[in-house]
Amino acid sequence: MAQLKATLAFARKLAETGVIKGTATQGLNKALFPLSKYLKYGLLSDDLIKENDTVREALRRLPGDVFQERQYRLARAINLSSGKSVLPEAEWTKPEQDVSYLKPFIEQVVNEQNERDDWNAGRLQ
Amino acid sequence: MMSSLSLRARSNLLSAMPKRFASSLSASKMQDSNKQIKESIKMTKLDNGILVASLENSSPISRVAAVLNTGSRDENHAEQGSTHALRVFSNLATRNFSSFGITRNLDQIGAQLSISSTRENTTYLLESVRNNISRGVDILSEIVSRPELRHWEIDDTKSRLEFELEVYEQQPELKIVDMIHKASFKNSLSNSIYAPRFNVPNLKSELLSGFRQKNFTSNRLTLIGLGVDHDDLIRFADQFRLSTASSTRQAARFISSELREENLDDLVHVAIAAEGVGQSNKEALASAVASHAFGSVYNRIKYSNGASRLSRSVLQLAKESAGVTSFNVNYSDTGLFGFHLIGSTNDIGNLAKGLYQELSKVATSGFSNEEINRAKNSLKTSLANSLDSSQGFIEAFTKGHDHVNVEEVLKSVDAVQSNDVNAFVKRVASSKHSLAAIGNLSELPRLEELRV
Repeated sequence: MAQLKATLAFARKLAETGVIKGTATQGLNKALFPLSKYLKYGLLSDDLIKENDTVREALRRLPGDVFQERQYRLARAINLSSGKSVLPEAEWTKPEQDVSYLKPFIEQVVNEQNERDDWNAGRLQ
Repeated sequence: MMSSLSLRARSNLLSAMPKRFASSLSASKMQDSNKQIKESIKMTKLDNGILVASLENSSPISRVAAVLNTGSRDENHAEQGSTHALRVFSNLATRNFSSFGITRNLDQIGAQLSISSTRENTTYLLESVRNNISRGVDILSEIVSRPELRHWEIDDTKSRLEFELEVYEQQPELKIVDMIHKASFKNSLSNSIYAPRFNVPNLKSELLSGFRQKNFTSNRLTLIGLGVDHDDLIRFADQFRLSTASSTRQAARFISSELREENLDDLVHVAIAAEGVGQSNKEALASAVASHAFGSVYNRIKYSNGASRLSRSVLQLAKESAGVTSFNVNYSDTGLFGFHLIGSTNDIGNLAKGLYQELSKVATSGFSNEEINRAKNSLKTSLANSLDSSQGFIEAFTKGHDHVNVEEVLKSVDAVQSNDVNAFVKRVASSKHSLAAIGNLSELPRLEELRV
């Protein structure tokens, strides 16, 4: 579980402070989860977010070890996909492991940008 | 310069905003009071340990100062530089405000927020127009009690910390203050108020939060309001939620040692100090009078050397331009009394020897009554001047609640006896000394050689 330890610990901290609510064990996510392909490569849903400026800034804010684990998972997945294979079933991502570690940061970056835009446009006091 | 030795480092969170000087509220108040209404200070100690004090000074600007009785002396070895880092990082995001939001909100209400810290106290000062003070206090309380210290914001702001250190290292008159403290105290007070370079990489979020948790406690917080209603201030105090740990402070121990930093600067700074007295010691005023009697400001007349005792005797020994003053600091449990010499490479040895001769002369025959009276007047002027400003008032209040009434302060200076002053100087001359020097020290003898 080396590729997930720090991420899970980090997500636990986030959940304690109430920043993230849950994982793929709720509602619609629970139904769609086994149909998705990313779990077979050992990826989390947040690993798949397309990179743009906001996401890049959010990635910059990740703690070092969480970021490195993400890189490891992505590199492993690229490797697997180039060899046209998938991970053995024991190593597929489980629903409770699919923690949303990046979305809170993306929200934070978007909120900060919105605050700046609001002030500059004169919408705030 | 050395005249304000208890070095205070400031960091302004905003560049100067044009201040609006007349609020309609206080203008009418001023019209009503034709005679001087002497307001007294109201103080309340809250259950959580916070001391709330307010004074109505009829100023159009209200000031709220959150003074924490912690400073660089409370840093342990691993935490050195934490107060400097917290000073620099004070404008970063808090729980409910982003860094950008803090700046814009303060701009909007026309307020100024600054933080300054000494070895024993950290002061967060909010100055704002009367009507907007409560919004300003929202932000002030966030910064004092709920900073987030996010690791990426700290990494982004590290360069500002390093810039301050670069500026500090260019100024020997600041370095000599830290050096004489390092040479004179074994612990606590020996910590510099600037972060030591070797510890800068360690000043990260967890270390700073840990330092805050231990030292930024409710029982160490004093809220001082100038131009703020006392009940309002008590309500504001509710927003300052700090940890309720009780913290003990290490006692500072004086030690006699020598700290020399050699470089090729022709302008040499030397400081020589003996153990002084604490703020509550009955000799505190005598030590201040003694410092003024020796000469504690360079000169009050432009382009002159001044007529202080040290100028007339020691300064004459210099062939090139030089300066000699005495300094006196009173901390809570101890103090420093000494002399600051500035001279060229070739002069500094003679200046130092001359200083010791003058010191032993005063120790043997004492100051004349005329010199003591002149010193008392000088001290009274500087105390009254400082109490006139709100910054000075806040500093004086944190030193002691009875240090803020101008008339009482002046009376207590008058009550100082010449015998006490001379006895103090005698003790200083015969006790252990410490020395700090920076510059081209080729002609400066060691402390041991100076004292014969």
